[in-house]
Amino acid sequence: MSEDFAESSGEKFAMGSAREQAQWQREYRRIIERARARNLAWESGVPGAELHNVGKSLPRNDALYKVRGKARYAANIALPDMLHGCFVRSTEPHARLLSVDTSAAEKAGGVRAVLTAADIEPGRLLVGTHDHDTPVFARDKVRYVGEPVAAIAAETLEQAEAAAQLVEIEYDPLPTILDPEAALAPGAELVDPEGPLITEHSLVNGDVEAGFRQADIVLEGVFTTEPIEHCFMEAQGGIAFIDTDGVLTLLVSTQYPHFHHAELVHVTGLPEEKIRVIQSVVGGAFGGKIDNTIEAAACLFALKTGRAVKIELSREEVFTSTTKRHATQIRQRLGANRDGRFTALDIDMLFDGGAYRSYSRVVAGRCMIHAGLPYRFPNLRAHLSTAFTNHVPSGSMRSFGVVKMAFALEQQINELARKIGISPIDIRRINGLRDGDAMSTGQSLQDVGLMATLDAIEPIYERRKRELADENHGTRKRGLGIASLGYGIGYSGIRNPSTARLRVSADGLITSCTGTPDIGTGSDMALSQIAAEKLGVGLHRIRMISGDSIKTDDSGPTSASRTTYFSGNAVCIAADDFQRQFKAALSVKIACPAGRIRIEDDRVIAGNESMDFASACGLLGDDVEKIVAYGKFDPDIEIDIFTFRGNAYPTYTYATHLVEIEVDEELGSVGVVAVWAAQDGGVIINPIGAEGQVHGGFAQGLGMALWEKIVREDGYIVNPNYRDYLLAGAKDMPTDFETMFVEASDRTGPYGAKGIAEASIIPVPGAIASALGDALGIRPSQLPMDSETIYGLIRERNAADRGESP
Amino acid sequence: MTECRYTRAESVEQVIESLVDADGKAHIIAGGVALGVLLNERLFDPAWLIDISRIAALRSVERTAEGGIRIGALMTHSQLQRSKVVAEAAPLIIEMCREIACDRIKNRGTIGGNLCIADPNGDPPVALLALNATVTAAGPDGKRDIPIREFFIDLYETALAKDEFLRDISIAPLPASAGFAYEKFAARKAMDYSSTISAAVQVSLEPGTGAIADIGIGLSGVGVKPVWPAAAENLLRGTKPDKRVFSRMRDILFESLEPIGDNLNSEDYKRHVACVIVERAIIRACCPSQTTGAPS
Repeated sequence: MSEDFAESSGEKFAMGSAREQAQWQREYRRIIERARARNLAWESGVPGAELHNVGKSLPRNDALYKVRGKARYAANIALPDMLHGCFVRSTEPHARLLSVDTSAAEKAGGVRAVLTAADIEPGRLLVGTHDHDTPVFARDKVRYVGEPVAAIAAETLEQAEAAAQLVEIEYDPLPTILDPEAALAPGAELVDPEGPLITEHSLVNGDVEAGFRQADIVLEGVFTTEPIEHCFMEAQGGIAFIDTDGVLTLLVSTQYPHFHHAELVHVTGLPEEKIRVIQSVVGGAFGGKIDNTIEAAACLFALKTGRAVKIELSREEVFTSTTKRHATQIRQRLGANRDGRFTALDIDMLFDGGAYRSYSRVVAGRCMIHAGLPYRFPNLRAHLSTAFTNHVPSGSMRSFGVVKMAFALEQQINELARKIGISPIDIRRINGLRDGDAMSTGQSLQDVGLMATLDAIEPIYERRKRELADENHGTRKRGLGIASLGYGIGYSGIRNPSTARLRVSADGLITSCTGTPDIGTGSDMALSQIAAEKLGVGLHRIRMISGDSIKTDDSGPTSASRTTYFSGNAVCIAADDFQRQFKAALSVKIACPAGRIRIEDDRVIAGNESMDFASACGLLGDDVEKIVAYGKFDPDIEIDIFTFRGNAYPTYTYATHLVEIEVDEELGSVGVVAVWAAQDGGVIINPIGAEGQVHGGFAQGLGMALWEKIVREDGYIVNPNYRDYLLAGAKDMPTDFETMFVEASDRTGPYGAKGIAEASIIPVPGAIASALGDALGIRPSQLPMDSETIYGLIRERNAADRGESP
Repeated sequence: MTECRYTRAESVEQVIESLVDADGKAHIIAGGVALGVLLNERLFDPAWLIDISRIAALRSVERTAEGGIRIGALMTHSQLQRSKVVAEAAPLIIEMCREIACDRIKNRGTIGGNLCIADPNGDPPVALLALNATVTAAGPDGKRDIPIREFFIDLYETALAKDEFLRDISIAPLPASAGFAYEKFAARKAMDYSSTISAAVQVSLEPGTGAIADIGIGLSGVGVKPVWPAAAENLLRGTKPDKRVFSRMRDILFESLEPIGDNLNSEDYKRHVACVIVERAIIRACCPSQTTGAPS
């Protein structure tokens, strides 16, 4: 391997070599200056100090190289002498594996290595994000169609794929479990030896039955959702090679390089320092790029052949072999008094966990904690079971299941408001969480922005309601729907620290190393803004290194909306440390007390002297390299997973969305014409970036609400492509989209920030369902609400109106 | 993948020569929109491709002596959508072109290629059925005119013989009191393919009474090939459609259509959608003031 790779690191593969970087940095600086000159950016309201970088809508530091096609996604990287790998996958949903014969494949043209479970020590075969239960290659039996059984590495992808056809697998089919109810039936075939359940949780607050007895109105419903694919534009892919120092190096599209590092230590048996995982530029993840897909196989091939090996999943493989959002059934009862006060909520959830555990326990834990959020329920009962089936494993996806609970609860709340004749805003005001309130876990909440989001939406809702009362005629009916949310930032009830390390060079370039990688959200940009602000230097001085298992410390994954809050705080702590060290060092050099040195506006002011920051770094000479500042942010959170008592998250984000839909009553087709999103993400670090997150969350929620579903027949996914699995497109987005940041500053957040990424998907399906209820008087209870489903509900309503049974 | 022979034809004569040589083993490629996808997905392993994309003579639209138009097979959807001649002579085609996938596809895809693929969900066949267009095939024995309503035989199958290729498409002049409309149902607003159902209507009204003198209807997405609902047309001729006539028409359509149910929509829902959008297209076509065919 060439010299370059020994010197390489995450930022190099992301943004080109150091020389290329310098050019981007210069151009980027010019753009920022132009934006400032034209006063383009709008700013968010940071209370107190005058800020230069935080709260500004600045262009992202990866925008230039991405729009110019310079970003190096794993698929774009070719190393010299590189092999190409592909998988041989199970074609049976559940079967004993009698034999795997790779002899013909090994002899096929161009083939350099073949892997099966037999190539891995039994004790090292199993991987998994929270439980080591998933074999890198199936050994004794296969549990779903698409499970990897073998892999081929060859000189070309075509040769690898041709050889894959030659692998002979002999199966002995077992009874298949295709839904969680069947899994839980007495005597059912076991998918996993430990039993039919992946996880089961219960939470009881107060006396639910007594609460329902007190209620004037009780609503009951069963809500179902289908499995959903993340649909990141870039499929999972990566390249493994041995670098000049003999370190097994993996460039990979991932949310969590350090996790893969630990998994690869386990699978290969190599010492920690002999493995390095570097994140390549990621084209979207949404929770789907943490589990092992190509990582172990690519690395085992590199070890076996000594050559670089690239594996990239095809879109069909992404659909059929990687984790999905859980298919869900939610039975729910909501009770309230005639004055609108909730008396009880009872939620019983059954999730299809698929063939392995993946993130099922995490999804379940978060759903339990979020039961009833963001409202007060004097009596609350929640129960959740996730069962094994012979479907592709379910895992984590944007909001970890909370979007589905909101689909059920927000609809029921709106229906309740309609029945008792109060506005959907007021019913949320009556029951919504406020500062000092305790949530279901007993945690007392601070800086709750829910009421502010309701205040922002109310005048728009009242105005559109009046206007629609006059406008709504003909076969195209308009309707309004509201949904709110509260969402915890970070891991659920488990400590998950983040870290940052800051260094500076003699020319004034500050390198910020943080473990949480940017997965396309712009988190590196937000962290750069925080670093520049806290250090008092220009943004152009900050160079982010994130997502490299050697150059950064394990800071947890970029998931759970945690990066701005956790890593932002770590950067703040490191920046304070940096200032102390920098001033102390300079104090010695220029004989000025450290207490009289300040860094502000990219200048260093020492006593009566003022100099450019870079000049001050120059003055420090070799001493500049001794400054290594470190920050670790590790809020004290802990929850008892049996009783669900405790502090689950350090902070929560809130929102209320209002959607206006138009539905064609003759066809059932639905379009969203306008969205007003009032979002409390705390103080917004980069408003234009945050707005992009809100738009993206809406688009993803729109697809989930109206079209998206993985269609499964007998364990086979029959629509593994973008032709038959329909996502929302640009033209489906409403032309009117107003994002309002209400910014309830969080006293524990970096500059008052909370987090925003996942939250914007949560209200979408519930708000659209409610708007359909408003427009047509129908109550959709299953996702997706495609036109045929809605047309069916309209026919049922019409038949009921005529007094017929449908 | 087997070896593929490639011929770039420079003239119509050369295409026919190659087709005769190939004896049914060759496929013609023009814009490559449909074949490109199949090749990429490795669903198609051609032995011989004849590329006709460079034949300038096929990339034109002209007025015929009778006042109609003749459209060369290589005209792209984008070129048609911008054509003033098409806008004057067959504005339905302009409205249809607006509904085709996206600009990138419209810039590459040709009308001839689209008809020859005979995709049951395609847009151009629908408009040409409503316009009762004539397809001209060229082969070793010279030209052969095929009415568009006899052109689509089965799934991806046309009336072209193995040594023929589609040369151009002719549309007869429209009467003065003509109206038209194109309605497309799709789950999504853009880039939808699987769920689409389209209806094109071209009418002429009797001066004075306003009754339908003649009507052409085309439908897609409701069968194995583009559909020409002749029975519905027969019912409508001579009527001024009212609720009763439409109700009868819907019954006839619903009974006659044979859509294929899929993961997105059932057969009955597809039938229902077809009935609704045909009715909407007729209503719009009968009020010509509501439609404009300006090139865009």
